[in-house]
Amino acid sequence: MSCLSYFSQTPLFLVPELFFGLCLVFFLTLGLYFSASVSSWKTQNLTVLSFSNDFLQLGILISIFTISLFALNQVETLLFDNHFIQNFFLINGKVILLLLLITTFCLSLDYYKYEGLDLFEYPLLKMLAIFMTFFVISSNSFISFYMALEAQSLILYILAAFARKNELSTEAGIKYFILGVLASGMLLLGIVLIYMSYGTFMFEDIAILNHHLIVKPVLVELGSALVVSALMFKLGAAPFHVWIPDVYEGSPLPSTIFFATVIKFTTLVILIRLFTSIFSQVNSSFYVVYLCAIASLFVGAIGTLRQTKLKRFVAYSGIVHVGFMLLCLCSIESAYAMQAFFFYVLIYLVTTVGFFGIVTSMRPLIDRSYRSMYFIEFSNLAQKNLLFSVSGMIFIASMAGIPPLSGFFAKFYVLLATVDSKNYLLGMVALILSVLTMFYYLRIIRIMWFDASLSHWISYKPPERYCALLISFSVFVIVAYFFEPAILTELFFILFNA
Amino acid sequence: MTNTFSFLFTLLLLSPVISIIIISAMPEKDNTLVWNVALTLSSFIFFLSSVVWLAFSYTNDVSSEFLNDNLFQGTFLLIPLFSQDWDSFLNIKPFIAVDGISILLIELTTFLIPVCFLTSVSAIKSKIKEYVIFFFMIEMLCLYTFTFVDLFLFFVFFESVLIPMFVVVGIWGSRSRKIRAAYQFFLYTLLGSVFMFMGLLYIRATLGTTNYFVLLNIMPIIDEQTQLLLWLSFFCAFAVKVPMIPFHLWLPEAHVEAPTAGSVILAGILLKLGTYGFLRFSVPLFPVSSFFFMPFIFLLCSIGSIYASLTTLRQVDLKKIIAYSSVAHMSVVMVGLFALTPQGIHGSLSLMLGHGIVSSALFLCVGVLYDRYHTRIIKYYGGLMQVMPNFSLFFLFFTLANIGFPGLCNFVGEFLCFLGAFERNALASFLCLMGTLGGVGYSMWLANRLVFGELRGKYISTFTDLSLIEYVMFVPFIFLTLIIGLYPSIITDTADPAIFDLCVKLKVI
Repeated sequence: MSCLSYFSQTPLFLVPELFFGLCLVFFLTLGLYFSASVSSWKTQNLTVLSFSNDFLQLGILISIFTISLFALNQVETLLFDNHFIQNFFLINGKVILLLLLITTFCLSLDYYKYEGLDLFEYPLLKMLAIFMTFFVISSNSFISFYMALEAQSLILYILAAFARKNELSTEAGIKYFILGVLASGMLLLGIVLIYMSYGTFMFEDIAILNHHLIVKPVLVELGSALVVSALMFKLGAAPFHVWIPDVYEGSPLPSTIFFATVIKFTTLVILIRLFTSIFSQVNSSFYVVYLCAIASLFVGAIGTLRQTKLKRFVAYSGIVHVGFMLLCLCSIESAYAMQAFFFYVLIYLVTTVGFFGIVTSMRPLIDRSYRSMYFIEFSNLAQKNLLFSVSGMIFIASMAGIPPLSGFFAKFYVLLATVDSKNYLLGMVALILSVLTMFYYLRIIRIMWFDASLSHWISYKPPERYCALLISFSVFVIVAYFFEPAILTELFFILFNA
Repeated sequence: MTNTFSFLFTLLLLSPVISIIIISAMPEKDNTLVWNVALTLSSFIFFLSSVVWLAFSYTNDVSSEFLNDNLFQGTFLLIPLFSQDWDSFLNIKPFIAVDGISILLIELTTFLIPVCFLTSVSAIKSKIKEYVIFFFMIEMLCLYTFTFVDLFLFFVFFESVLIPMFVVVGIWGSRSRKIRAAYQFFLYTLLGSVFMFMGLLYIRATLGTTNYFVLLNIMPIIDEQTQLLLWLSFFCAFAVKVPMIPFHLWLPEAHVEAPTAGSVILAGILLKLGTYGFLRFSVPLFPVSSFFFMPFIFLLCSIGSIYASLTTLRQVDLKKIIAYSSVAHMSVVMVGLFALTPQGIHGSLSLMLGHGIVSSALFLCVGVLYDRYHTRIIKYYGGLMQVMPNFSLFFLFFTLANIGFPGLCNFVGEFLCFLGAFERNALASFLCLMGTLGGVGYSMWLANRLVFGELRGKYISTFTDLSLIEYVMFVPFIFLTLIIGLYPSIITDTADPAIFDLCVKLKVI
């Protein structure tokens, strides 16, 4: 029967994803069972090891196993009647996603225990989001893309509002939900407009049509602009960036880390996929990307100047980084653009993970439910904890683009691609704005190193083991790139050809 | 021959790194040990660079077999380091090459660092290990800037010098304005460098390489108009560093707020990075554009010289006076450099070195006063001759050197600069000379107020003359000033092949 043959090929090709999904189901039942018994243990005043910690570690184990499955299952295939695509690049992308998930788990190992949110749903939700993300980036048609994206976004809204008793978190969740639904509406309208003109949802068919039609129907241009705008919203590029500072600030820290790393990475992968296939000939999408790049650089650079809170600052500096990545997209005619793009994304992820590692670790010895929110608390970190301040300085300097750290090289490659494709004005604007951002990054370094202690003397407990591992790994990547930059070509080779 | 030279030079380039590692292993409590080790290491580096200079001068007597060695690129000595494929993605290979100009500036750098440590012993009381590490970092980055001739790597190190300098000014400066000064210094210089970054990117995108030796030959591929724009972009970066009027505003701030050793390094080396950039990159890579913009430079420098001298006359802060005199001297250096004649370029190089010696010595004198009396305002000083005769002797000596007194090192440079500029434009030369005359004015007036006159007893009551450390600190400067002033061939002989080569390329010989 046809429906049997429709699915009969999939199990072999989808083993990693299916395994992950099955583990999720198992995880859910396990969590349900244990949450019932644990609550009874707690009422009997028996000491319980941290509940969410165990599940986090279980989640890490599952992710590692899935990565190994991905490594073993390197096939290129089209499934589900061309709606699902798998190639080496996407497999590597999924591996990176799982690594980021493991990173987020490691960084949040003790977080929920101290916050009083000892729930097992948290790792479950993240793993579910990643599961949906697999299908988002592997989608080969607008239908599957939209469905998977919606499923993923729904989970993200919950993740933003996870700290239920905190009004800031609830506000963040609602803002994210409403604005996210608005963006999904835009996306859907764009998809529908394209479908109206072309009569197909498949990426390949649309790409062929776009390539061969010299003058595209107006609806396609409009639709493409809408689709790209919706993606810009998810990415957090100006002028669609307004939700980012509020949501980043309100969400609990692990959710913020998740948003800043995983969601940006997936949206960038999708953008690259779409831009190299469908939108490569459509002018309106390029207009949107140009606009967003310049606006992101401006908004991000000027927005960071007045921030006093940590997470909002990270949000705005993330907007600047997104601006640089969009610069690469603008200069896609250059041969350097793709490598520069991926390198910049990689360095951005590493720096963000490291920086959040430091922020997570800044928990005081005694009052453990207190978490750092303002920059003033960084003051005089050099006296309190030299390693944090040195690593913090390295991360900030890399974000600012100070040579010889790898952030500088990332910016250099991006700007080389920009100049190579003759966008001189864009490059000049980016350079001058990066000087502007340098001011604020320097201010953080000043607060860390020069200022006398403006807050009371909090002594921090040493970081968790995995946290420290992640911070040191990030520092190593950032500092060591200078000695062997030739590794970039190897990286690119691995990413695309292995 | 070249093998030992390469080995020595590699050792010289690595020794600041090794010093940083050794210093970070020192115990923090023992201040004297840290200072001693720092002084020993930096003196060793100075000794090493002197040996390198001697070896280089020896190789200047070229024999035919040496010329056939493909390490010898004209007057440059290529040192094979790193694997040839440092950055295969961008086609950037780290080329390390020295010629006469670089060797002299390296010598100046390694000479000034031990002196910085000597003067910091009494001034810096906290965080000594970090201080020493940052200074070695500055030394390392300056050394690399002078030796890496690949355009991209030069730019990387050119910009990187800003960070330790920012930290030094920001932490160990003397008063609360230091933060503002550190920011201004950093951001101003960075803004200028950004334009050069743009030019560098354009060169790399169009020509496909940033290798200096290749660029020297293939730059004519780019059309003239674009070459003018590229020259301007390089100008932005170097002009802020030099500093030329009107991009000089960061200099008085940074100098006043920096600790003494920071000012010494700033005046001695960091300003030379800008003129070195002009000499090494702007002029040889864009000869036609340099000739085109020569009147522009002359304008800026003549106005700069006069303006700086006039502004200095009304200053009340000791360090600001010497900072502005740095600006005036660097204007003369630029006039000589952009005269684009052999005499002019020789003069600019000699004045660079002379200024590095004399201005640093003057900053050391001010540091001596500040360490004792904790004020830099001239109003509180007077009649120091009566109570600090040694100090007054040194101060007057260096003031005379600053003026350009014949027989002392600045005269050589200034005379050659004016000679070179006079060939091109007599008016510019004359105006710069008027600026120098103003220099005589403020220098003598400063010396008069400080050293002669009557003691201001109601402000300062106890006077101490130079200690042994400070005495030892000043003597090499006196020695160098006299030697270079009386026998300038020491410098010009080393630099001559390189400058001759440059002038041949510019077709002015």
